[in-house]
Amino acid sequence: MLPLLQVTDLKTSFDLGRDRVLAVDGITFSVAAGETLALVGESGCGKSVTALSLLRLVPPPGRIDSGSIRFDGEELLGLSPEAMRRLRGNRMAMVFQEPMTALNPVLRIGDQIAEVLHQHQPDLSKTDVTARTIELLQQVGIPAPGQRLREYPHQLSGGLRQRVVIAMALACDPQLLIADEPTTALDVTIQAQIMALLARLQRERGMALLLITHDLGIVAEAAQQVAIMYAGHLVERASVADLFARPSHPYTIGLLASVPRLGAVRKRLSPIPGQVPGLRDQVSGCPFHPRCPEAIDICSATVPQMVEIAPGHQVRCLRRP
Amino acid sequence: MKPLMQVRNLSKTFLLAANPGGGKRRLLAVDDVSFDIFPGETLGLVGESGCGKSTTGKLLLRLLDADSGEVLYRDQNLLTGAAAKLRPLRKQLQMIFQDPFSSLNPRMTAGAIVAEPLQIHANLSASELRKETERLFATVGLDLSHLDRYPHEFSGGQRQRIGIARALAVRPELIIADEPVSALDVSIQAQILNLLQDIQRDFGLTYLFIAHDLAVVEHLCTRVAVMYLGRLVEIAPATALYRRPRHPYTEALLDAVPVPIPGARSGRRLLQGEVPSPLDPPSGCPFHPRCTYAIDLCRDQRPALLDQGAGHLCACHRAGELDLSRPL
Repeated sequence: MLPLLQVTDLKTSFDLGRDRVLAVDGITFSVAAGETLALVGESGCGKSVTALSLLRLVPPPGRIDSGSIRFDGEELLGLSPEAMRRLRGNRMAMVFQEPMTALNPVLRIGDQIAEVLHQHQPDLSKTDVTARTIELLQQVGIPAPGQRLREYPHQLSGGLRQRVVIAMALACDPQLLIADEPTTALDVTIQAQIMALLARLQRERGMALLLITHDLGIVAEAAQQVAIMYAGHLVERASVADLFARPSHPYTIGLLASVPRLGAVRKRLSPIPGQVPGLRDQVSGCPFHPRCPEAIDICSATVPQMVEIAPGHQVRCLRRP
Repeated sequence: MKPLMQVRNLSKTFLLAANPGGGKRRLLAVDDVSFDIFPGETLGLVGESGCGKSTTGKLLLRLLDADSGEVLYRDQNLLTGAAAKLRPLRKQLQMIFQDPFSSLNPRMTAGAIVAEPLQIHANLSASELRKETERLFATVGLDLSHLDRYPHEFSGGQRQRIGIARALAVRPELIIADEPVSALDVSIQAQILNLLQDIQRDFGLTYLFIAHDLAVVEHLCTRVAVMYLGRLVEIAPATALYRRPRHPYTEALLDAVPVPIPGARSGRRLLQGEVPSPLDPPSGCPFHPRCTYAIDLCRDQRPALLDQGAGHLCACHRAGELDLSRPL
């Protein structure tokens, strides 16, 4: 069976005056229908740019240079802007990290959800739109949705705002939901509620989820597949069970060793040395070699290719297998 | 052991702009909070946003003025008396902030930022000052070639190192660190946590570590205090608090933390609802509307923070009868 989303050798770059820098440097991955893929990495690694590329919303001076994004059998990079607009928010929707920036502060939340429905389902009557809006708010667990839909974003807490954003994204029953750090701005008890909500909605609707996060705890709890991203490259791809049981790329191993775990025996953390590279820092060879404890001479000269080390488990490292 | 700092009945109200209908609204941000900080320990102060943990930190150093209460440090109440009189004591009490982007003056070089507290508190010649600044740079793992660079030229982790060097400059006894690693990437966060532990050992520091990340707090702290809606609801040695919390809110917080082990937490309970508005706090125990163990008494009567034995204090009517211990 074809995956719902197949991204192949995607490259997205930004024009920074004299230089053109690759924020996403040839990444390949797929998401099956109904599945959750977690895309993991630190700030500036290109995970958010990847999400924007999938929706073809990369802001200038950025642009998609090459590659292929096949969604439900259709090549998105060839679509007209009009066809792309019909797809966005409809069959493929997105939830952003900061709900306040995703909502219009001067529009009632009910009207914002209704706008999505008007866009993509113009045949719906006004009463149907209101009924559907209330139903959506109910589904995302907003109490008293009939009253709430007349409120403005500033009248809601951060958790409720994120629920509204999720309701908007789900308005047209998307096949794929892209969630970019959907709980990073929220407190831990609200985060748990939102993650449980996403899991329930996904189960009920058979929706695929591309979950962008830096939190390995969330990955372990919410995803089936995981891709680790570093400096614009995917460095490891595996099932969640394999990744946590047998992390292979030195960066993945380093990330897992960097996080203190609840209930673990207290011992000194083993951080990854050095700094997360910036966009302008062009590194030869493997992008991780300056911080890698296993680096040898060849790592600074040769760009490693993705290699399968076990069924469904791929690593991009010259020292593997 | 004699506490290094004693906080007694600390309260702070913010007056908010009037409603369109008129009348000032009062927000009780810190409500009758008392605790001790012992020399050499790391006391964690945890809670969700708006619980009053950062305000508490600022009140201790008088960066905000408290309404009432006492903060005793070396038998002197820091909350009374002229600010100038406090200056020699201030040297002993330093702060590290969450956001290394906004807590450094963008027009000063990193070297000047670290040297500034020395110029204020120590009487050093120019060459001594330079040498001391270089020593501080080395201590926090900054390159000496970075002395003359400006904050915008540094990454988040390096800026936090500058903030730590500035706090260390005057050889303080107590450092209040307000979310010092929460703005950092995970690989950098571990570097800063190790650095905080190293300088604690090398300089005999005491920390008040304000944070929302419970795994980080467990890793670093010897004792932990939990705040909810401006009140201290539990304070205990870290192991006791994480293995056998006494307050249902602490249990709910621990349950909500995602664990990086697939399948580790399938049966956890989810805390329902959201933190109530501090403008209109619930009657009795502030947690009772969300508490699965609440009884009638909880709605009517505010529980006092009582010692449950072995230095484990908890403000819950049912602390004695509930067993909230957690599987290993």
